[in-house]
Amino acid sequence: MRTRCVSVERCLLLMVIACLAAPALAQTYVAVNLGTLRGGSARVHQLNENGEVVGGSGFVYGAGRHAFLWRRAGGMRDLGTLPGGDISEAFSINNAGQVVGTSNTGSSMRAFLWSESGGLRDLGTIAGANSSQAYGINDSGQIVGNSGTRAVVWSNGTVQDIGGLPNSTWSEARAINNLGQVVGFSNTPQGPRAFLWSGGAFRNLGTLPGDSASRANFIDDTGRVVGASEQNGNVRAFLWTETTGMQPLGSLPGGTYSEAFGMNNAGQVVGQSGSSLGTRAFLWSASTGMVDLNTIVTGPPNLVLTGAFGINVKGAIIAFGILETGTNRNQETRGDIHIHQAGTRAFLLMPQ
Amino acid sequence: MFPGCCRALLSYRSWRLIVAVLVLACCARAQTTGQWSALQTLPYIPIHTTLLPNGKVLFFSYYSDSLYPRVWDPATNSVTAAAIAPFELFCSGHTLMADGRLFIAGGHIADYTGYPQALIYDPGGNSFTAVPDMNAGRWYPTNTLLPNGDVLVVSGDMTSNTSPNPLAQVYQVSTNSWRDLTTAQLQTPLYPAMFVAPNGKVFNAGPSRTTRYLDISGTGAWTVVGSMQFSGTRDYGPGVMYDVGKVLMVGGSDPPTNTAEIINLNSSTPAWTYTGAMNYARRQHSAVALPDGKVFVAGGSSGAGFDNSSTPVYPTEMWDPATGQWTVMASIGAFRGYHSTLLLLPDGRVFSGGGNVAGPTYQIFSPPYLFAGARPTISSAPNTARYGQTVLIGTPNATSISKVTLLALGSTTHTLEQNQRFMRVSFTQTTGGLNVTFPASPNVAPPGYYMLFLLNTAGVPSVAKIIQITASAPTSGTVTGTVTNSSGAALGGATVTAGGASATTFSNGTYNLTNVPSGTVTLSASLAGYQNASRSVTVATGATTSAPTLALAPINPGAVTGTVKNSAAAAISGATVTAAGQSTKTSSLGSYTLANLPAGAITLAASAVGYTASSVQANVTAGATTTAPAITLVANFGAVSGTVRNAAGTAIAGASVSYGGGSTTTNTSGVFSFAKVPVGTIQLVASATGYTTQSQNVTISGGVTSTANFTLSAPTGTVTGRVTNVSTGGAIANATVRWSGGSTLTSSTGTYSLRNVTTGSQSITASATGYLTRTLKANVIGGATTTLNIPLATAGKITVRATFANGTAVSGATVTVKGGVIATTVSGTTNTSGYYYSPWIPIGSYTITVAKSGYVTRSKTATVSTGATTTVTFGF
Repeated sequence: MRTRCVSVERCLLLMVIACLAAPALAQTYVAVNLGTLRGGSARVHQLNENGEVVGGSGFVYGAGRHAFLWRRAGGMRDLGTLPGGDISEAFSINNAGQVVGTSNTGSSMRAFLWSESGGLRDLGTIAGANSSQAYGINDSGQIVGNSGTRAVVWSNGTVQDIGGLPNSTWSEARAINNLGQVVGFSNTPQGPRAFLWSGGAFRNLGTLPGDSASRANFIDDTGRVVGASEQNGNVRAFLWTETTGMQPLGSLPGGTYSEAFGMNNAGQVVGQSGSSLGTRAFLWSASTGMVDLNTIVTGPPNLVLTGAFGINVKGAIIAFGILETGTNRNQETRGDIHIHQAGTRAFLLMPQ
Repeated sequence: MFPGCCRALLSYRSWRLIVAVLVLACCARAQTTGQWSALQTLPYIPIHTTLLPNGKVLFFSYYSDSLYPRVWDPATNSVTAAAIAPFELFCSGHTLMADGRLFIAGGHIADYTGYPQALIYDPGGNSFTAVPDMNAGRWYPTNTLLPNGDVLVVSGDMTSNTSPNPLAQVYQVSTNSWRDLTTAQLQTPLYPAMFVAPNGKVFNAGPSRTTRYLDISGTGAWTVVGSMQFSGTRDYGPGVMYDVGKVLMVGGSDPPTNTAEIINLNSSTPAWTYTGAMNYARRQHSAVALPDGKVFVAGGSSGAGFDNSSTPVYPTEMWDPATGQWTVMASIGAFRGYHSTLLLLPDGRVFSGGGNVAGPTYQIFSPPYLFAGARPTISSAPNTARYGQTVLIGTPNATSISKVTLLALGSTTHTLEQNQRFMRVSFTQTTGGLNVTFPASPNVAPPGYYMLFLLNTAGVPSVAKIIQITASAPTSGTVTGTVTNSSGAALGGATVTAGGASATTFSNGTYNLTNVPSGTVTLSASLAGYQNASRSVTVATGATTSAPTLALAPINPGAVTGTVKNSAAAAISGATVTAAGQSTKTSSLGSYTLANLPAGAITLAASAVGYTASSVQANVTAGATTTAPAITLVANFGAVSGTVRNAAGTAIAGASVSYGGGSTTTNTSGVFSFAKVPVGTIQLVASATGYTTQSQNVTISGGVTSTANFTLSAPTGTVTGRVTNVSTGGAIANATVRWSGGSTLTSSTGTYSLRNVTTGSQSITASATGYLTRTLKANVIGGATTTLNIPLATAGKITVRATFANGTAVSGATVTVKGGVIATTVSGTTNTSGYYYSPWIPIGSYTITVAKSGYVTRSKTATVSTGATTTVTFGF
């Protein structure tokens, strides 16, 4: 979901334009059901500016799950697995249509890069490790993830162990922006911490006050970071900026849990929040606060969107949810017989 | 009524005979298909079910209910509250440890988001102890007890934006730390089926078709063993280790399959092969190994999709590994689908409970072997046995015993059994019983608690003796007992200690102190507000000692009196009031008195059916009766009512109003109401034909009627399209497009978009300088976009002149002009000068017809050009 930015100035300009074009509160969405590959379950992780979407689809328990690429023309396409593998999942796509993710081989798992011309390619590992995962790719084709116990960046065919926060034994990179800045999490003697890796240096983003752990999930092209901060399982979405530091995004009424998964260069954030009606997909902006996407999306009344994971500058959002006989988006989902771990469906939410 | 002869035939003796025949027929059926007990209820849905070493069953339910685990005693059918969990245990992984404690990994933060925390529940101490956090969250992980007593944890969702936690981790009991299997990272399904294999590796038997070994030594390694025969995926199909190194995977997939397959890990080249297929396809069912080595399957749905309650499978089935065949067993009384559990009890019966559809109910299955004659009995047995040790199992039935079997205590959820395994053990007859030799290898029997069954030649099992298999000789025993107040009422939450071991009493006052050093020790109980009590007990090595009840006397007792009332200050009779372990009911005047309470601050808690429980604080004065503040209970329910109107304020009758708990329609005044709505926030949805559905959140307070009014507006849609020159196809910019509710201008490319247009057939008019204005109909659909392109034509005029041969004007002739680039017909009559003037009409070719009564009608063609008048003359 990257917009090409060759400089910070151009990115800021893009952001301003995007803000001007940002949907007002009255913005509503049409939900496009992306379907499934098999087995009735799909999860969705990223989209690009062309509205191309990636994720994984398989059986409800996750068996038989394969990475997919969805395009408006042609629908959901199975990207397969690396040789010997049974499970794969795609986590990111850039504006050139390059897809990254993770696939099992027979005895391990490997980060992969898929392109229309090159197909599925094993990105390999760092020395001493036998596994890797890829979570993010920018428009320059730089890929981030982890290999063994270390956060890594693949660039121009080489893999770099970028390490972690001081005294860490474990780190994972989750996203990279078009300026080459990387976010993720690293363990520390104090517990897991969200990090920002920029210009070759690590920065500990801390936690929300009183919390013991944090993780960064995404960074936009202006360097804003979203993720979650946690204390004994009490998970709260955060937005981090250079000027404000880490700030909580709150949660929907009646909920305490929230986590932010994606954002666009216009500053709109998407994620998942608890509420009086159960777990819900949310859209957050500085002007509107946190909004339950179910209240601004049209679609069948039994569609309940439970999480949103990416948003592009055009305002298109990817989300997942439940679409079962008997579900009702106006009904509390907690305890509902169909909500918990039923097959999930992936949706592209198009601004109306 | 029967005829007289039949009445005579149906004498008392005959009735007795019929009853006897029916009983025999029933028993005959039970001998072949077993028998289910009546359906019974539990306080909540048993979604996570574990058989504890004391023979009781621990339940976790779902969501926040899982904060409150319960212990069910099959012997008394009573349910007791266990210690409150520190977080929601729903969706955790769990397995019993070597010492009988339960290791719990992860849990439910939100759907697809798991806790990184892990806990140990001690059934003896009735307490939860945290261990260090795992690498990340786990929601639906699998726990496996390893041969050295450590616990393997795999899989489980971290967040809804990641795939399941790929890192396998081992909890090391001796150091209370995690060992990361960093070279065993893999994408896995949720709740994978994992079994310790005879080679010491852990076998992943499903639900993925590719099955693997996980070598847990060093930093770990996965290797592929082979693929299952079934070409689909055994999603929600259970696995059972039905013998040493032998695994059965049965059913599952979507749509469900009836196939089952087995693998023998003792083979040098293990491979999956089909065994007999079940009589019914099933998904989200459960499977359990029985004392005789057969496998019992119950529940599930045969239809496609998730927890399909339209196709429940009521018949149950039994698989015989000797023949590979399935036999249909007695039908279950409820749909045990998703969130149901199945558990073998020490008495050889099988517990089946839960399921989202069947809810908080259970049934007990008595397999056919319980109808095949007298049961052998175990008269004595040790509490523990070491690997390879031969121990005496006392039985008066030694000569008839043909089989001795061991089954690990089950720990099950979501069709996944994390602890159960079956094995036969060797034995010889001896004086007073059997010499039974326990397995030599912890790979065959990981350390911990097992049910030992004796089976006679008729296949009838004894009631099991639960025996702990340990690596070393025990030096301690267990003490059980009860703590009460001096009135004999159970005291929950009391601390009981003996020889360094400590436990907290359950809500029914009982405790279970494990690992108490052998010999004579002092047993003490304490609870705030009471005097400590203690006595000495002698603890037998490896045995359970039942201690006399410890009664605690209050410190400086006093009494409290008070009343319980509702929000309207009316007395509530029959409300339960509890304080300091004692309870009483209120009188018809709502009053109560509790005597013999400890002096000092106490909490008085009141509860009544239909009300939210509440409590007050009171200060008990020694030797006096204190009047406590009245306890006000708020009704659990409130009500909501309101009116549904349209934008003009007119009531809408017959509008549908609903929330999660029901729906209704408005009356002729547009009024709706719901009584008995649970307190909290509900979302009300109002809809009516021809209007846009609306919703609003309403907060319901106990005993209060909230108001929620709706104003529904007619739905609108969008009309878009392009305005073009019909002749050239070129865009017409700045054309005005309007409907009765508004207008817009076309863009430079001729496009327009009219928003918020009332649904139905609407007239859309486009006009532009130099073009003929044109109106078209659009069928506007609520919430949708209708495309309406509007081609416009430039215009000219036609003048018709009709004259007679003598040159005089033909007046009153009918003129019809038909044609044009946009089909147009205009008509009129000639004036007294013989002229007809058309209005502006689209350019293009026209046929002009002039008719005059008494004359032959004439026709001509002519072309109309932009901005010009074309004159056509007719002669009569």
